[in-house]
Formats: sequence, C-alpha cells, structure tokens
Amino acid sequence: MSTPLLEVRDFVKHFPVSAGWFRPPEAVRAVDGVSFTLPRGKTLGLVGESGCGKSTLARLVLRLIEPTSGRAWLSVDGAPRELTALDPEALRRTRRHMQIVFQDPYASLDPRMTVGSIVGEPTAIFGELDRAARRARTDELLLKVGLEPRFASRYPHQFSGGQRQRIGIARALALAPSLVVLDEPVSALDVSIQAQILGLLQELKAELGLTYLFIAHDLAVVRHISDEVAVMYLGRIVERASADELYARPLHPYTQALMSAAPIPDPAVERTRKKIILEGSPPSPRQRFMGCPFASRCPIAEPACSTEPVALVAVAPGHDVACRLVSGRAN
Amino acid sequence: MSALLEVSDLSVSFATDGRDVHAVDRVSFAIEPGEVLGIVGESGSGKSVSMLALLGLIPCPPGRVSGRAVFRGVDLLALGHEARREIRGAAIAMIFQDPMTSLNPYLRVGLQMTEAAVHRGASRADAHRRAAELFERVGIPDPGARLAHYPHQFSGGQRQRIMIAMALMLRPALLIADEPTTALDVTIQLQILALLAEVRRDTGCAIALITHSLGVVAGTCDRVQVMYAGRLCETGPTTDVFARPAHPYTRGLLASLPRLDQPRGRTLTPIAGQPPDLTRLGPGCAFAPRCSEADARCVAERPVLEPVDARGTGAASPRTLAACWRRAEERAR
Repeated sequence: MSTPLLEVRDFVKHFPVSAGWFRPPEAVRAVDGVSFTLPRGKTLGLVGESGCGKSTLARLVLRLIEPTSGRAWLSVDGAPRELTALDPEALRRTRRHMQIVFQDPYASLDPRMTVGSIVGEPTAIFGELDRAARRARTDELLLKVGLEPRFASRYPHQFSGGQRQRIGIARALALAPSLVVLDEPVSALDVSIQAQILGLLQELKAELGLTYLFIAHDLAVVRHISDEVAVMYLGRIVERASADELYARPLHPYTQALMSAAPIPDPAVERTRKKIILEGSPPSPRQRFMGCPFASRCPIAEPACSTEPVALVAVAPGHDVACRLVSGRAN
Repeated sequence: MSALLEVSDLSVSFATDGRDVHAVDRVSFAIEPGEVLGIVGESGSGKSVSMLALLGLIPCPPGRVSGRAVFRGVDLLALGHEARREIRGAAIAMIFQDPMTSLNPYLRVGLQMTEAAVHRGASRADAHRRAAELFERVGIPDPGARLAHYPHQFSGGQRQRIMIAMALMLRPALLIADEPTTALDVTIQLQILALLAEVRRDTGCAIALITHSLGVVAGTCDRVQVMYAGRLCETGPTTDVFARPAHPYTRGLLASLPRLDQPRGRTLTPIAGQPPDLTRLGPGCAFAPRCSEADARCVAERPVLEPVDARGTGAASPRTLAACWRRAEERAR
C-alpha cells in the first residue's frame, strides 16, 4: 500500500482543570490514545456524542492545539512530513495542505470582511497571486461552491446558513489543500439544506481529489459520506471499519446502542425495530479508567471489563473493536 | 371526539422596521385528548412561535396575535393576563429545548419543582412529597437528596428529566414539548423520548412535540403537522404522511435525508434554493420558489388545506390534509 495521506499515532490530549482549592489539578482526558491512518482520496468519518473528543482530535491533527503526546504525519509531495515535529514557520507553510471547515457558519466568518476578502485571504497570506489573479481565483472558488461571483462584495450577514457554509468551504479550498477537516459541517443547517452541502462536498472531493476527515454526531450523515468510520467514546476509538461493514455488522456494544438510538424517518421501521436504551450518561472525562470506559453503561459488561485494560484489535480484516468480550468471542 | 384544543386562524406577526413579519400565518389545527401531535418544520417555520402564542408568551408589542384557540371551551387568546396564568402551568405545561438555561442556577431544584404548587395553595410538605414521587417517576434516583441539589449538579439528560417532572407537577392535560431532545445526545434522546411515551401512557395527557427531526416524529407521534414559512402545509396520521407524503415540501424533506436502513450509495435529492425570507413572501404558496412542481397558479394564489388521498385508495381521507394546488388538481381529475 502507498503511504497514507495522514497517519496519527497515539494522540493524547489532557486539559488540566482545577480540582478545587489546595488540590492538585486533575486532567480532562479529551483524547486518550488515538491512532489511525487516512489513505489519500478517502473519507474517514469520526462519530461520537458530545465530549467524546472528536473535535479535539481534529484540532490536534491540524496542530491548532498541541498534543500532550503522540505523533502525526501528513504526506506532502509524496513524502511524509511529521506535523508534530515542525517548527512554527514550517508548520505555517504546511498548513496550506490541510484546511478546516467549522460547524457554525455564523461564528466562523468575520462579519466585517466581504465574502471576496474572506475567500481571498488565504491566497493573500501566502502571497502567491497578484491582485487581479487573486480576484479571478476568488470568482472561480465561489462558482465551484455554487455561489455567484458577484456575491464577492457582500458581507456574511447577507447570506443564509447554507450559503455561509459554502463560503467557509470556498475559503478552505483556496490554497488547494490535500486534507480537509470537516468539523460538523452540516449540523447547524436546516434539514433541507444539509443534503445540498453533502452533495457539494462529494462533488468537490471527486473533482479535486480531496481527502476528508469528516466529524459528526449524526450517524446517517457520517455513513452517507464516509468510506471508513471510527466510533469514539470518552477520548478513544472503540470501533473502526468500512462504512458498509460497520453499519451492517456493528460489534461494539456502544456502536450498537448508538445505531439503535439514531431515529429512522419511517414509522413502519422506527416503531418495530429493537432499541437499546443505555442507562445513565457518559462518566466524567476526568475519570481514569483501568478497564473499558464504557463498562459503566454497557448492557453486556462483566466485572472484569472495569478492571482489565482493553485495546483496539482486529476481529476481521479491516474491522477493529475495543471490547474484550467481542474480541474474545472472535478468537 | 371533541378536541382538547381547537386552534383556528392563528396568526402571529411582528412589526420590524415598518415591515410586518408573519411568523405564523392563519394556522388551524386541533389536538385530541391523549394524543401525541408532532409539529415539524425548520428554523423560522413558526412551530415554536405558534405554541408560545397559545400560552400568551409572545411579547405584544412588538408581536400581534389573532385567531381563536379553544381549550376546554375557553378561548385562550381572549383571556386576560390573570386567567391565562391559571391555565398556564396547571392545565397546559411546557418544556423547553435547553435544559441548561430553563432552570434557575441559584435555586435548589426542589424549590423550583414545588414553587408553582405552593403558589396555588398546596402545603410545602405535600408539594415536596409529589416532587419526590415525580423524581422517582422520571428516573432520578435518590429523590430525597437530589431535590436539595442545584441544577449544575445534574447532567443534561437529568435536567431535561427534571423539566418533565416539573411540568407534570400540576397534572396538565396538555404538555407542549419544544425540541425537548435537540440539545441532547442520541442515546440520551432515546431515554427522554421513552420517558415522554410513558408519561403519556400513565397520565393520559396529550403531548404537542415540536421538533425538526422527522425521525423523532416517526418514532413517537400519532399525528404530524408540517409547517413551512409560518403556514401549515400538510397534516395527518404519521403513518399515512410518511407512507404517502402529499406536499412537495414533505416529499422533499424525506428525499433529502440519509437513512440508516437504506443502502449507502443512495443519492440524496436536496430541496433546491434557500429557506424563505418571511419579509418577502409572495401572494402564492410559500414553497413555490423552491418547488419543482410549481406553476403560475402556485405563485399567484395561496393554496388551502384540503383532504388528500392518503392511503392510495382513490378516495380522499378527511384526516389527512395538504395545502397544494397540484394535489388539488390531481383529485379533481
């Protein structure tokens, strides 16, 4: 196999938090030992509930925040470049190859900049094109995301949520990156607009040969757009497989519960299918787990699940699960 | 059966910069005792505003509310401030989307739970006893100790349980739930929806469930009404509307959703265009600018809700209505 576009090894991010007066600070274990590879031209979907660490992981990949430990490589011009070892200037130069689209199209665009200057800013920063060429590039980008070039002189508030997300996508594509991180790109949008943006992302990927790291909490959306899907719980990947395999044969009890909880817009199906209702809420990410972090809510957990360490292991080709009961059954 | 609530020609408009925004535009519907009615629509469709108007929670001015809403023989919209307060909370209770901001962070939840009952003359001890019963009922363990806690000591799902328990304190006949699970994760959403279903079964109260999720409607609602740009575009029994959606907007919504139970490669068919600008609606159907079936009449003349052939039997069923000229013409043929 050729070198993957992105490789992440053992990423850990702990945020220190005060535990109270006169007590040593504790750590929120937002990301707790995550590894994956992302082949060029593919889409890896990261799903999980709020607080599972998926957005932190995205920011670590782009080095918008520094990992506590772990390493990552991005393939640039065919050679892997270690992102976690780059000095600030080298990192700045590498950033053009990896861009991000944020969740909230209202907060992620500067209200005092015109659309033209928002989309043209990355090219201006990298100083590659003169003013006229930059203008032409901006027009081309706006057309690519389905907006009219004459909109370049308008301001973000003149656009709807879906249109703003198109502007955010155009900005991310300005420097022709190879990796685009999409952090919940459709969850702030109305249902009738979500499908427009998903369709646009798929077209752009095919046309420009992009690679996506797609983060979302909506399982149906992630399955729709991803080649491979990783499910996260409390800072760890608990299951990973191709989208078809994962949804046809979810093995981790958490994945199964998550899938059964995702509502299907069809009363005939929704009212007859079996639902797994989990007890309680996820435990605090400040907690340290000896064993499986899901054990406290798991419908099939045994006492040993809370004490024995658990690792992500392959139970079938291309299908990894972090559950001692499931991997025990497979062997 | 006589309806618990009968709303006719409800309109809510807001005066903004000399221009009237019709947030709710001549909407009529009924809620039967004990049923779960789903009210779906996107942001700005008027689903929340219409319910807030019934409870007198729209500040007027700048708002203007008109129409009738007859609840147990009384027109809610004609009531004075005091009379409406008697009904609000007691006969009709409401729970809101965000359990983080709808509880007072400075007060113990026990006090917030019992406040309304005590205000209406219950003794503190009785109110506290009922609050503890309801905590147990909505699945909060150790109610005695938990009632003395503050909101930040509960998780998001538990806070929504507290909101539900609080709404049940005065045994309402109608519970309005405004996006009760939107702020919650899916595994917690499932817990809360299961709880609402139990509440309905045990207490027999009707529930108006406002949501933007068609999946939530499919799983929980007896009937559904779809709103667009402040207007009702389709209403009927959930199973009929999902099996044979009549309005192009409802059809469009269903075609644009990815579904876990369908093959992965399925292409989604998005609804074209942008959400409506309520200050710039034309005289015709609000959905016409985005509708692939629209013709000159749709642009010129507003369609009215009329019965449609909901079960494919060739006959119109009186319980399923859609506001669409295309469907009306198909029936006339």
